[in-house]
Amino acid sequence: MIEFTCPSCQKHYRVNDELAGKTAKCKQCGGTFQVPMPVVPAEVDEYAVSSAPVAASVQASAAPIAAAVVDGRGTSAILSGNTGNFEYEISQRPDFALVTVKMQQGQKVFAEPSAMASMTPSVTLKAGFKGGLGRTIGRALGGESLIINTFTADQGPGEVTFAAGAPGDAAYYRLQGNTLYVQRGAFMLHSEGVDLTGKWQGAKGFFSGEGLVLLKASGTGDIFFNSYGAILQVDVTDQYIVDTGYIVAFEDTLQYRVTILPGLRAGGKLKSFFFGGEGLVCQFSGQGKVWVQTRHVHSFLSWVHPFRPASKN
Amino acid sequence: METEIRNKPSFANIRIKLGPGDRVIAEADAMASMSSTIDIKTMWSGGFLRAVLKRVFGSESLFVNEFSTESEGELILTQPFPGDIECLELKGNTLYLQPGAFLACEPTVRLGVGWAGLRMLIAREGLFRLKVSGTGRVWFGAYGGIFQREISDEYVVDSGHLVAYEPSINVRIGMAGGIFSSFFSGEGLVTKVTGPGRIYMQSRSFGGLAAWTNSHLW
Repeated sequence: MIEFTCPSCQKHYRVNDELAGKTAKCKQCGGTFQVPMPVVPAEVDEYAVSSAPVAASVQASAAPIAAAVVDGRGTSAILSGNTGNFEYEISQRPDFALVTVKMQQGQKVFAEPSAMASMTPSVTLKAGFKGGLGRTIGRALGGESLIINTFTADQGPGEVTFAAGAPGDAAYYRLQGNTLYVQRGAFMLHSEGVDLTGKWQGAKGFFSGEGLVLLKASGTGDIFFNSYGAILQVDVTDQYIVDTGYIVAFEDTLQYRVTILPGLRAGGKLKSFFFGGEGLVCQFSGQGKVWVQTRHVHSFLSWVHPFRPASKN
Repeated sequence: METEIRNKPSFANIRIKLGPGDRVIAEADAMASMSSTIDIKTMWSGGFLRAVLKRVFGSESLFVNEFSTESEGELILTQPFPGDIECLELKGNTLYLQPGAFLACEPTVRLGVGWAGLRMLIAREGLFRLKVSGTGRVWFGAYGGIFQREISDEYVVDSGHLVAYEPSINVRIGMAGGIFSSFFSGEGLVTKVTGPGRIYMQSRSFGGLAAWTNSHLW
């Protein structure tokens, strides 16, 4: 752990060693500073994320703005903040994340069907095909529902809480004219100003099977996505490899290529076959952020499936 | 009697230190481990008739266990699913629990079954609700994290997310939006609660878990 105080407002911080030398933003005064190098030889922190791979640093946090500094208990903290559009809070992390959005009168939020857990009656829910036929089909190809739910606070300010079906965490991302790719099933909700379309993967999508189906979010606004398991945020600076099933989201400043895990390449298709369909990875290069989830849906299903009652005809 | 809820929110469990004369009543399968100094007595949950009613309509278990000791000992209680556990101290007030939420209570707490209304069957929330009243601590659990709201007028809760509520809360079933929106939004029927009073909700639902699992199985 590194202990230091913010140079401008003297707020006390304890952060993981991986953040040494990084530029961070103070949660209290908003000033930027560089995290100092650890003074004592690094002690083992039971909550710290395991060793960072070459040319990429991993930090156990989800939101790019609010959680640049991780507290002592790592991921269990409540994330909250103001997106500029509305106030939000992500609680019950990282196991059963719940996103609470506080809306002003007239504001709109667009969410994945059945993501709503509760809301004030001042909010009206309307299901609809948003963005015309092309976008709708695009979303369907992206593995999300054809329908997008629109929550409008048309009868005064209100709040809506959103929860995913899967046990796991949620994260917030602010789009500033750039593009974010979100893995199938990870999209939760977005604010006005965000354009959500399906991205046809072409051969990339085809070869990765169901492993990599992406939605493309662009524009200026807020987007929330959820994971199965905890979310690790990785700042890629050169090259980084993620199993396709573990990708939650990534910035479009990164180039990506779906390949077979390097170790399996020599044996080709045969080895990969005996590996049980595993071994497809996404190779990222360039500079940008990738969010990785710590559990895999298909691993869970193959663990659970033998216990499911099956009708034998 | 010292109690503590540990490993919140994913795998919450209750640790109870029993002294001479202390007694705790818990769901039939809630005990995970205990000191050998603790005695268990199994009994009908709230009397025979009520136990059968609860079993048939409220999906609660037929029996409850009473734990007591003559010296002292430790008891660990859990719940069947991953999730959070909440403790509430009753001081003569009443709380309604959704089927399956009840875990344990002190013997001074009265367990009863209340008719929730036919409309609750339509919403698949269960025909009966468990009514806990009296004085003493009661523990209830949920699948997911537990969060609460103080309701002054009205609030909308997706079906499957409501865990417990005070008797001043009026619960009815409504549609999530218009007919089209309710059908296509994936929310379908929702629970509309009217206050004033406090409600407890869970941040995950069994329906949501099933839908997520099934969406990946094709």
